[in-house]
Amino acid sequence: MSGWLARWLPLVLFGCAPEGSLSTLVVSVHYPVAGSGVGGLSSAMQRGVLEARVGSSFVVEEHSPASEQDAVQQLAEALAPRQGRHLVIAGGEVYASALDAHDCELGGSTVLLLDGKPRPCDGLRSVVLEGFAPAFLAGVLALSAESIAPRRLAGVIAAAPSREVTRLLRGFQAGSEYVGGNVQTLQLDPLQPEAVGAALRSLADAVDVLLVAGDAANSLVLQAVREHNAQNPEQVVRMIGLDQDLSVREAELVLGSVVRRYDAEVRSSILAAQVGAFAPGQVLRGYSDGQTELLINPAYAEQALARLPFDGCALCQTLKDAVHQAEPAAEAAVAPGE
Amino acid sequence: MRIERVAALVSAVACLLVPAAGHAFTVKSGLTDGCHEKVTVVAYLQALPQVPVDLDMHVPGGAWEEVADYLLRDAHYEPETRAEKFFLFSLLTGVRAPDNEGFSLSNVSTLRAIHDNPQDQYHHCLRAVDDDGLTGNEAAVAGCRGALLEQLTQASEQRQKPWPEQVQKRPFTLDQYGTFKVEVWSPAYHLGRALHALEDSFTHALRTLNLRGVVHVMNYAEAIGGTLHEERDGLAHASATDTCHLVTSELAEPSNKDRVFAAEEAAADLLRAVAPALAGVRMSSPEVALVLDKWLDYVPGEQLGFVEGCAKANDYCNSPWLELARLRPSEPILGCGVAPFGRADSRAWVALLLGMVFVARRARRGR
Repeated sequence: MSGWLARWLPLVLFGCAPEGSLSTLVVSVHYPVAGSGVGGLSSAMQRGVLEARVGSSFVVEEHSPASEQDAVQQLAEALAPRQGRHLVIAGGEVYASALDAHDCELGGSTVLLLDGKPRPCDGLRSVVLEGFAPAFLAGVLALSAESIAPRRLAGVIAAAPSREVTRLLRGFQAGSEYVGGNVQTLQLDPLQPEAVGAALRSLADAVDVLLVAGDAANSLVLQAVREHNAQNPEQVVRMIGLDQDLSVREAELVLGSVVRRYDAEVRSSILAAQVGAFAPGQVLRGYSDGQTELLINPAYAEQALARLPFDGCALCQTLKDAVHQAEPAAEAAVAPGE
Repeated sequence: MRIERVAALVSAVACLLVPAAGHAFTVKSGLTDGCHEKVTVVAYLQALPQVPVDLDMHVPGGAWEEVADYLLRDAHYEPETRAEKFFLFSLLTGVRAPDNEGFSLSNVSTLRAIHDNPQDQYHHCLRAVDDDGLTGNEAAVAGCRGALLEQLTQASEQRQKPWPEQVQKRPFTLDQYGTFKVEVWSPAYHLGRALHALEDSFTHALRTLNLRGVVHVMNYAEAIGGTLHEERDGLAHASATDTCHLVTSELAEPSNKDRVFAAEEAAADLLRAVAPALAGVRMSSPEVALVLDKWLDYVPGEQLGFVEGCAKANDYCNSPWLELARLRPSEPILGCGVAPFGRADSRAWVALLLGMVFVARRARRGR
């Protein structure tokens, strides 16, 4: 083969076009104070970063603050003026007030804030995925049928306290109460599986349906519920998942799952920042645009919702009214910093 | 005259080479982006807490490790153990297989033989040649589900064999190297083939607004055969829906993010559903059926308020996905009437031009 062709053909096939003058993007990830990997928002942030890395290159710096003071300090360091292109991703309300204190001085970085609503700034995108409505519907789904919930009692398993989890729990509680039920909450430390097992068995004995509000606990809870049901076939406990469709893992046990897509927001923002298309602004998304939803296991749809005027509608008027009535009171009940 | 003949031959070869590769979410090669691989790796990451990667499996030595490095390089994902790496490699080899069956993407005659085989179309969630009209949609979706289930059943059956028998050799092609056989863990390989069909159902069908249900299935065989009548045979397969563009500012390369994200979510659901089967439990049909009902269900037009069904006349029930699906339709290969292609394909055209110049220079020197 001629040297001429040998020199040029590889260039044509594998990257003749220069990548442009953009420097490598540095993504600084600031997890909620509770810590990385615990609870829904932290896991979603981790997943979003991992997913964005498939097929693209950027540098990741991770920060898991031990306290609110740490969180504010680490954010301030990330927002100090630096060379190069930086995207700061922060999760949780504490970062909203910290960003307000910066008075839109972002040091040349672009910022994505999840689950918080600071004042608008150039280069700042804040995203809140409203989870109250699907959680309310999950409460209705859990306790509306006597055949599924004869005791009208639901349990909630929360991995870590945080404002975004608390809002979900308020929604679930309001929905449960809307159909005449009650809710018990159990907070678990997934790092202590033996204690978790005993606590779960005890809770499973007491309730009809369990909401698992922390994906770290999914497998533990599934196992505990399987064991409970094998030993108590006359008193079967069912489950509702969070942030992934648990019914594809256990079709007969899982009534449905509340799904929020914070990971998609993280991934999209990283990819957009890479091509200079990051979109600042305040974004409130939720049930109406499919960013949060209640996935109902079709096997239970008729049975669980028979008492309600559901009839195939995604969120029919009666429930809409109920959600709107319940939400302000529940929001007010969420203490700052919860 | 001789130069013209040789140039025409080179031109014809390149003409055949370009459209044949653009058949589904693309698989990685020298000319195309590894879209299937990316979708599958992301799905794997989403399902990772449930997928049993710490299996005490028999991991063989061999060429597969180097090939795995090649496949995983773009994913920036480092498997924690050799077992996980072997699992992922086998999964990705299976995902690639229906598009090249281990043969090079530039082996045009092989590609055409595979892709034009009417029985093969369901492995890509496309219409078979007899799937005509509205009923053809339902038949194609059923065929796709059948092809997918067949692979899952094979995965489950392979998993019941003793460990050494679960490792098999399958052909694999690297474009700059050729075809060779590599070791795969057969349960993951067959799961990969099933994932291919599921992922293709997002590129080869018009779906409902929430992307869960299928309203119309596209047609490749008759589009490249030159016999397609849209009202009868369905919408022609289009290369624009095959891309992995998530964020783009180029008008000629519109984003396919919604489809890609949905395909990843569906693939993650399927991985979760079959996770127990990978761990050795016989495949559970309720969970798999739930995934298929959730993501691969035919939704007739009547359910969407179109009593006449979803057809060309009503823009397939006013599908919001139609504009992209009509961009760069597949056309007869022998007619060489391809529409403009994306970046990878334009590289092929530039390669063709360079090739022609090279031929001309050699011919001139030889005179």
